[in-house]
Amino acid sequence: MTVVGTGYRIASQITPESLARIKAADKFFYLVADVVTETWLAGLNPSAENLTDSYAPGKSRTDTYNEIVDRILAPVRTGLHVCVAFYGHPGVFAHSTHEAIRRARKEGVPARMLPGISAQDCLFADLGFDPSDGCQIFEATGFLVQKPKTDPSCALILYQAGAIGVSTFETSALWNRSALQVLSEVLSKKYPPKHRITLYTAPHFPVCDPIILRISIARLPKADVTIATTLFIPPSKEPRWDDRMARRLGMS
Amino acid sequence: MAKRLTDFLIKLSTDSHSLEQFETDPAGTMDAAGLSATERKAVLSRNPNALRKELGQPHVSHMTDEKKKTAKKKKKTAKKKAAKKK
Ligand SMILES: C[S@@+](CC[C@H](N)C(=O)[O-])C[C@H]1O[C@@H](n2cnc3c(N)ncnc32)[C@H](O)[C@@H]1O
Repeated sequence: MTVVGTGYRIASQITPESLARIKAADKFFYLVADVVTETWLAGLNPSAENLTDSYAPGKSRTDTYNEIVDRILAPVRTGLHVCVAFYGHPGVFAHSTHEAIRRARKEGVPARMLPGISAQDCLFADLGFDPSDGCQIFEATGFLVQKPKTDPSCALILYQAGAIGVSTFETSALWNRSALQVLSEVLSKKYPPKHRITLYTAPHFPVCDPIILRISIARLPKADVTIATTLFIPPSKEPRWDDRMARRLGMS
Repeated sequence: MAKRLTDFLIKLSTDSHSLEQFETDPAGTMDAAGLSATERKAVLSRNPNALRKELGQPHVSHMTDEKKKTAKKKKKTAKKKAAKKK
């Protein structure tokens, strides 16, 4: 079994290795975020099957993920070579792909994930940001509920800011606006309220540019956030420098 | 489904020559692809929502991850036990 990522821009961000796996599979499943990529993928392999119908408005996403894993594993168990394609990187903020690989391996079937271009990869390129001074990445609900220790001298990336606290699937562009108020309050305690943050959306279509909105943290509750938005909070402080450690490392 | 528009966008994403052609002569390439007036308008707007509307696609991004309570619950019980021991 192979799990691959299609990136964001229809057919242009997939690796040749992943494309070859899709074409060679006995059974091919896909789950992507736009209809054009769906059409392109459906044309690559006659066995192609869209996993989208495992989602339904109001249905628990946990149920959906379990169903997706079962759908993927059914042909694996009959000995078929299965390929599964997800948009972005198939292992970045994606529960069912990791779970399907774990279960296939447990059942003695070789399973492998091939990397894809994720939202943060597009973000680094489009915002011209290099994570070399550190970059903290969280799922937005987890950031609020699990309260990880974060450092304002490192950049912060939050996925799924448009779906905070929501455990079902919805079809609206933003699933929980009121939670953005909470996120804004929490961020304001760590950063100056006027600190500029970026709402980033990578383009799916080749004729479109990325959507890059720069706003203050205080403006977040009213901002144009969707479930496809990734939040980028640049550092508000210079990184620290430990002279003693630098000397110890021979960096004088 | 908007077949011509879909094929047009797939072509631009699989063939960099087509994309270059589109950038130099948008009207000509859209003519050749047989796009309707509203489809052309959507393409020229370069607005993903306008394109999505022409493609008949709602604003859906399939969530593939979800935060669950399980880890937190375990920690709480562990903490409570530790407190009792004290
Ligand atoms: C379940 S995760 C999937 C991430 C995907 N596997 C990846 O590698 O990028 C969904 C989240 O990805 C991000 N995302 C999805 N579509 C996006 C887009 N077009 N631009 C930027 N981020 C996007 C958002 O943070 C969204 O809430």
